[in-house]
Amino acid sequence: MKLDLDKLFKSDVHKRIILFFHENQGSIDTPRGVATWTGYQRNIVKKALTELAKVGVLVAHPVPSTTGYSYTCEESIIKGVDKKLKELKRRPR
Amino acid sequence: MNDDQFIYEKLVSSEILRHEKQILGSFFKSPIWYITRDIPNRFSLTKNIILQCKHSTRSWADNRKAVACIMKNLNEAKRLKNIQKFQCLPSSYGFVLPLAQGDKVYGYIILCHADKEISEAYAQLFKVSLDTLIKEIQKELELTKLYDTIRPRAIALSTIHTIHRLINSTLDLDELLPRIARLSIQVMRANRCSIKLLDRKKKALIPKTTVDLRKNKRIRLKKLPVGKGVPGRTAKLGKSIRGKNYISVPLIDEDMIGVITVYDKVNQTSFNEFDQEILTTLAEQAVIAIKNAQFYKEQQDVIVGSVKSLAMLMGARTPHAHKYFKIISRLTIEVGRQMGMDDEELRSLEVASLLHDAGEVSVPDGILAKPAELTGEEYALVKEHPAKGAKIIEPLKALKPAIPIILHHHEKYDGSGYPKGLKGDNIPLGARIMAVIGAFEAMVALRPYRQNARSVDEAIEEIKKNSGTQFDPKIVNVFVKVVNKPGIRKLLKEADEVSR
Repeated sequence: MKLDLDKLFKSDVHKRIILFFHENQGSIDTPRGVATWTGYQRNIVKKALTELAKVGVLVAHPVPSTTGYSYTCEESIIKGVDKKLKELKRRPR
Repeated sequence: MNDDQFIYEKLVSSEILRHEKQILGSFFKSPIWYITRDIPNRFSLTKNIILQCKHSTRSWADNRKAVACIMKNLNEAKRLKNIQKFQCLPSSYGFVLPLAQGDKVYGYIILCHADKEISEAYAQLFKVSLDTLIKEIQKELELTKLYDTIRPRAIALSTIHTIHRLINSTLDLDELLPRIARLSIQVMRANRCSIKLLDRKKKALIPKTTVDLRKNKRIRLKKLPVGKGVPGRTAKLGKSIRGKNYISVPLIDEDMIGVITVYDKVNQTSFNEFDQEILTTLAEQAVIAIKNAQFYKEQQDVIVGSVKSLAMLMGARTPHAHKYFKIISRLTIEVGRQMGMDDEELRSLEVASLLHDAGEVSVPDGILAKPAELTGEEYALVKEHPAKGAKIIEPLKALKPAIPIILHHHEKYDGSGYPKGLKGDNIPLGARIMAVIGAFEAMVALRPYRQNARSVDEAIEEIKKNSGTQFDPKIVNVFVKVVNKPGIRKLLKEADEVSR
């Protein structure tokens, strides 16, 4: 699946999750944990996490009882996200 | 932004203060309202306060007098940390209120050019209102600081908890070690991780897993003598070693069990002390999981070993059959694997392959070895052996998953088997596999009641002939492929030669 950061950043929950992992790059967490850090409902977060793992922004670590998610180690994606976040900061509200 | 600056900015932008300003504007005719972080100089005071008064017709001398009055009251407000009311000129009233809490002054509010005197009651009310506002902002600051301190630690703790869950969800060492390596790479933001376990006898580190994110890099799994290389030195010293592009941490339980090493940060920076602390915590979690997996494997080996001994004992009644134990066990596992069974299910299948005829101990030797056709009564006795076999292993909790396989291994795919007459997919998968393998074993191994065993090819043909009636056709297809593999054929030939 092709990575389209512009499209991902249009969704608040996707943006919030990416921001969380970008700011905490060594973090690995379950949907429940990410829901706590982002303030969204667990089922919404779970769906977004699955989508983000599919496009390669996150890495999924599935085990029978849960799935852990961590940030990608792909430098090109990390740089792309960084650029996008800087753009968003510059853009007037 | 420091704390004082934070409080000042919050005060200036607060809704309460804006509201107070509006109230004062409605009480007095066009007063000048000015908030400053520090006491301004005379020039700034003149520019920002005195010259802002549009209706002023005052002379320069009056203005200078007004500036002097405000300056004096600013200094008094600073010293006394209290509101100072003043009249700088006739019909020009005002006050200076320090934005203070205890000894700390965060700024000053200056109000001047009011057309009448500000009442003491209002001045005090205004002061109290601002005191409350400052206290609220201080609390907000404390909470912000607490949040900034606790949040990263809470996130780190949550990561450790998640890792604990992820690595403790398997007891299979072959699955566990790569998982630990992959998680370490993620947490450490490293490109490579290797885990080596210590072989005490050989005084060497045996490579168990290496995960490398760099593309096109060949992974070398090299045995390393203790003391050599980064992991070897870590093992020798028994403590962590950190370099610019690596951290190596010993995996220590009571004794050293191995070494975990990560190399090359993704962002090409150096590893620091914080990274070392994280990997040490991760290693502590890993050690527990590795020890659990090793203990579990030992336990499984003991169980399988005991089952093999038991099977050998029982095989003594059919002297030629036990020669096939090894190959039949391998054949069964291979077919089970091809049918998509997981490790746990394969273990049960292996146990069942060794003990599926355990119930025959209750069948008299005379019946088992009878070369002629069995009477109805004798056959009824033989048909009881799956249920009796299941009963024999029932008290052994670890073998419980093998019970349905043993109980139903004489069921037939068309429902004409025993003991329950189950049909098709209602027969447990393991039992359907065992039915094929059991029949194959019975045909190729010499039995007391039959002096001439069939050849492997004849046995395969017989099984194919009964596909869809006696046996599950899917399993027959897989079995035929597996049994024709050169390695299996070789083992079957060896077993045949030994038994003849």
